[in-house]
Amino acid sequence: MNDISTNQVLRAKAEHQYAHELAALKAQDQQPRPPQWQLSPQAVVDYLVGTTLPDGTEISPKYIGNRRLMEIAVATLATDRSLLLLGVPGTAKSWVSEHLAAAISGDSSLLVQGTAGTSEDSLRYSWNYALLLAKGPSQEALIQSPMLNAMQAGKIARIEELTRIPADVQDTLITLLSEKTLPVPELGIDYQAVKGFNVIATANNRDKGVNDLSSALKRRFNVVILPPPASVEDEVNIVQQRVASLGKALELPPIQPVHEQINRLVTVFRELRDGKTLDGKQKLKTPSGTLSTAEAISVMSHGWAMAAHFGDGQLNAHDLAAGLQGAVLKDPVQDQLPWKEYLETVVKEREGWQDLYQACRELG
Amino acid sequence: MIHLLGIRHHGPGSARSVLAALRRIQPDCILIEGPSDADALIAHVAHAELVPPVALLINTPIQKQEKPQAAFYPFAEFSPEWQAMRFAVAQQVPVSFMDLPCLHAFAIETAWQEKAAADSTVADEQLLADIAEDAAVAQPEQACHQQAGNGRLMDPIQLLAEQAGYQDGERFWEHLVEQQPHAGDVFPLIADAMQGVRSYIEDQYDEAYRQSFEYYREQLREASMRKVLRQMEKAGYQNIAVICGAWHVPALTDLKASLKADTALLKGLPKLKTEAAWVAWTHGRLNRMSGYGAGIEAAGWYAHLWKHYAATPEGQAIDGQKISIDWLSRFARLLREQGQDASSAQLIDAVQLIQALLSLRGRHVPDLDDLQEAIVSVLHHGYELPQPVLAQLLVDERLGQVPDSLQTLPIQQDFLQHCKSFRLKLEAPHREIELDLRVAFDLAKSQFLHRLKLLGLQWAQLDTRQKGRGSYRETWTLSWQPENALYLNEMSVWGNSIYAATQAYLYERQQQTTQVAELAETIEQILLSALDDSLHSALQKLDELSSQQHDPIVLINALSPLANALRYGSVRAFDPELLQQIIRRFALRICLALPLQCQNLNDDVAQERVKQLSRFYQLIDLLDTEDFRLEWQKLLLKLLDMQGLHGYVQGWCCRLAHEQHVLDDAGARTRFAHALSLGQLPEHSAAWFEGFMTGQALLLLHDDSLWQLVDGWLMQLPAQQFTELLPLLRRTTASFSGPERQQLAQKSGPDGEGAVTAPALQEVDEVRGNHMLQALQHWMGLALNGQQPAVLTVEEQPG
Repeated sequence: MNDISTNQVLRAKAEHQYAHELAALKAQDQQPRPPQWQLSPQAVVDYLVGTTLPDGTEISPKYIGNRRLMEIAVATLATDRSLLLLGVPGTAKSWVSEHLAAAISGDSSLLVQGTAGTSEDSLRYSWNYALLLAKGPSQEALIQSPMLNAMQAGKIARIEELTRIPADVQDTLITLLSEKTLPVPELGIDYQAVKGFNVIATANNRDKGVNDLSSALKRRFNVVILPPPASVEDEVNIVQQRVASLGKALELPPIQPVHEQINRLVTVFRELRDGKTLDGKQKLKTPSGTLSTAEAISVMSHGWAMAAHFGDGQLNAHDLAAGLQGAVLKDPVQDQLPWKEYLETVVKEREGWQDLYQACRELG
Repeated sequence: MIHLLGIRHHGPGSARSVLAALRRIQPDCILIEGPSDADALIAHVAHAELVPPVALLINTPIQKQEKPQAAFYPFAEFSPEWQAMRFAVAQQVPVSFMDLPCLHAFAIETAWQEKAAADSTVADEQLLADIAEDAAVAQPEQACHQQAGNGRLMDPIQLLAEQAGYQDGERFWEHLVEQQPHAGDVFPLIADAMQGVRSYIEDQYDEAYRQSFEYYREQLREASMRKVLRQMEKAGYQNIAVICGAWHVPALTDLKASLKADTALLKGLPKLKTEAAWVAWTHGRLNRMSGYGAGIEAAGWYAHLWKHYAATPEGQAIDGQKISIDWLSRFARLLREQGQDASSAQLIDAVQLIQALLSLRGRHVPDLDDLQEAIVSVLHHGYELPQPVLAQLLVDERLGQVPDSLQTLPIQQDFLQHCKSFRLKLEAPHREIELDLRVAFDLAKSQFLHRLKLLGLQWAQLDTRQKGRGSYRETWTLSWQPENALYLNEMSVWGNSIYAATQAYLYERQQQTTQVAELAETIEQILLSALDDSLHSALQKLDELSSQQHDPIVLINALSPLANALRYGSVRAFDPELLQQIIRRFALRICLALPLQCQNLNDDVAQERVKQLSRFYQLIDLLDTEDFRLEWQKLLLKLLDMQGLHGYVQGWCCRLAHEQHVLDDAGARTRFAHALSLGQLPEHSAAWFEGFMTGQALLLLHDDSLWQLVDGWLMQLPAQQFTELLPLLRRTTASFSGPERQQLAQKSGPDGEGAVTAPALQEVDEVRGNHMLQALQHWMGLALNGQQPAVLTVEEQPG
């Protein structure tokens, strides 16, 4: 499309970055493919969760988690329902949606970014007004939205942050998704979707209040909720990798290894999120915040910055405590109680956590 | 020819395969894995009123002292054994059980327990616990691939599944065997697979396991099965069908080589007397009691599958889509009953998704997870399904039926036995009995009655009226109604004796309760009934619930029976450590949550709150631990310093803090002055003083430091402020009794002669008094000595 090579862009598109994997999968794929699909459903799932092909090509896992969820997502796209990926921030919704589009259509660029300012035009079509005024309405003067492009090409369109789009604009989707046609009354024509067209939307399920989906629209989607990582080890790994890469990008001064602190942080987050201790022996009250993996990552990099710039180059309990408390106490009144209770009944009693307890106590 | 049909217990697919195989084989004899002392009961399966789920109950006779041993062998309609029995009885094929009879099994178990108890070295303790557990749960070792014995037994299906690339053994068996009941004769294949797995697993057995009870029991059981097989062969049967757990199939193939060893092994086994009966069972119990765990988690789902399997003629493929549609529409109906949306269009979408998923996963018949996932994604917008709906469908709770003629339940026998030994008669008229709990016999009787009460039997009512004769007396009213016997029968699913049934029933109830208060009450009753074994789980559940409880008041109420139990030790064999821990957490939670609860109170609630606070304080006092005292004092200080706390509560806290020396005199005086200073709203000051002083007249009289405090503060008040505050102070002192007020007045007088008002009272102006009296008489309509006119004149006088 343009001349900038993949190496120069800050972040390459999935279909470019993993082109070799997609090619290898395509070459080996024997299963029947739905119309317009680049790969069979089985191969798409393999692309997402990773595998080793018979010829030895390593397919890296894009999604670390439950394979069955990915199967539902892919199977949904093979029916005439659309896919809605829900999850708290940091559960890889957009990531999964991008890779799904890349694997199925070979094109992840048909994207509508949902904001409060998203208008109907960006879901349907708009006009080149110069042409419109000069020549009157014509197909030439019509500017197609990514949605319309996807319909015509039989590809997957993506909508990011669906719940941020105003409710009246969301309604445009209802007929589009059920009738699979887009009428253009000005020209007296309609565009009919080619087989293979479907939509993947993502939304944050903590943002319900922004613009909750109407039940009519909800009914057009099969919903897959992407859960937080299943095990402590998974989560620790994800946090560790992302913190390391973030630190590199922000060019933070290097510090001592922080595995121990990440472990503690992830433990605190998981315990409060799940409302019970890791060993399952004690139930806990849950605070109102999401306490997602993404937040753990930001607490950790905050701690890193503290330790590197103001501390002794070693991430200690005090550096951790500040960010931790900020992440947990999202509501200064409601969240006090769960947090205090957690400190007193869990952190205080746990072996080797005394420094963290003291640090949190000192913060008040 | 012997046909070995290896099955999974309670597998509908296995049931269908077994039926198909039986029709093909047309055996002249059928042998089923089951205790051979229940042979006589097989004939009953043809009884029209014997409706599954039912269970075979085999138990030792109920005796006075001993805990009866018992084993249940549950059957659902979709159990292969049940279908085989029905087939045999309908076709009049001789049928019998082939497993080790319980009369031996119980005796051996007892012997091993005694042996283990005899040499209870550290090494054997674990084993002892295992066996004790087995006995306590009264659980038949029925599952062929049970993971008993500290994981020493590997799950054979799991092994196979891992080989086949499945993560989950249940799902593997489900897909390969249960869902392919049309796939022809699967049994030779199962036998082959099991042969391989079993030899692998047996190679892994270590010496310790070979010495263990489980291993010995399995040897015995299989030897016994072979023995029965040989007997049948000898009896001249040509075509024998054997229905047993897949695990046992390899052990039954070679009858010759093991003949000698079996005879030696089975020789001279100890014996006990046993009884056998059919009892009604429930799907829920099937879920819980089975040794499978996950495999039979969804009796409702298996019943659903069986319905479709049974409706599909033999040789035809199972219609997976029909199964999905039927299940989905049942689910949708339940959702609608709950007031949630579930339109037909959504069902169509869900079926489409399931079909797409199945083709992606390469199968034809959906499994429970496929359906569940599709329902979540389409009907429930990605969120977890509502637990009650799910449970209703999965468990599909139903109670089996046993005809009256077949009922002789051990729980009834146990009950009657107890009644007899406690000299309690079953009579309809109300009868009162008095118990003196200091007498051991009466105490036991009381505990028995309390247990019945917990079990829900409407027979004995405890008279809760206090008769002022000390807490060692109890009065019960007994009245026996016929439906009580029926109720007792129903309760037999919970256990064989009153003790065991109450325990199991309580456990179930505890798991379902969400109310802390209710649970705390149950715990109190558990203590009264001396159901020590239930206490642990109840306490744990309480701990769990309490962490979700935001209202400290509920916690305070729940804490009091616990504190009592800990302080007075009314409980015997239980772990006080757990109780202490729980109380500690309770106290902590209450201390943390109370300040929030004390904000923004109105007058009534404030008084209520103070009552609760003082109740909590009494409990803290009762527990008498330094820890709690410190926490309590912290709480007091925190409350004292809280902005916007209701005056009444604050005053009360201040007095208590002063009393306990958390606050010194100077501090208390400052707060006193602060609370009653001009800047405060009069209401606040009044409430504060009220909270501080209410009911404290005696303290004020005798505690000099308090007296000094109040006195000192009063004396330094400027005159104007004193006047303003006077009504408020008066309001509080009004709550004191007359004599108290008099004493206070005396104490505050210069040197004791403070009764200034007394002389004034004596100077009565008789004229004005008479006027007053007459006016009163008039208002009240009393005619006194016919002096009507006089009264009128009085009234006419102005003033």
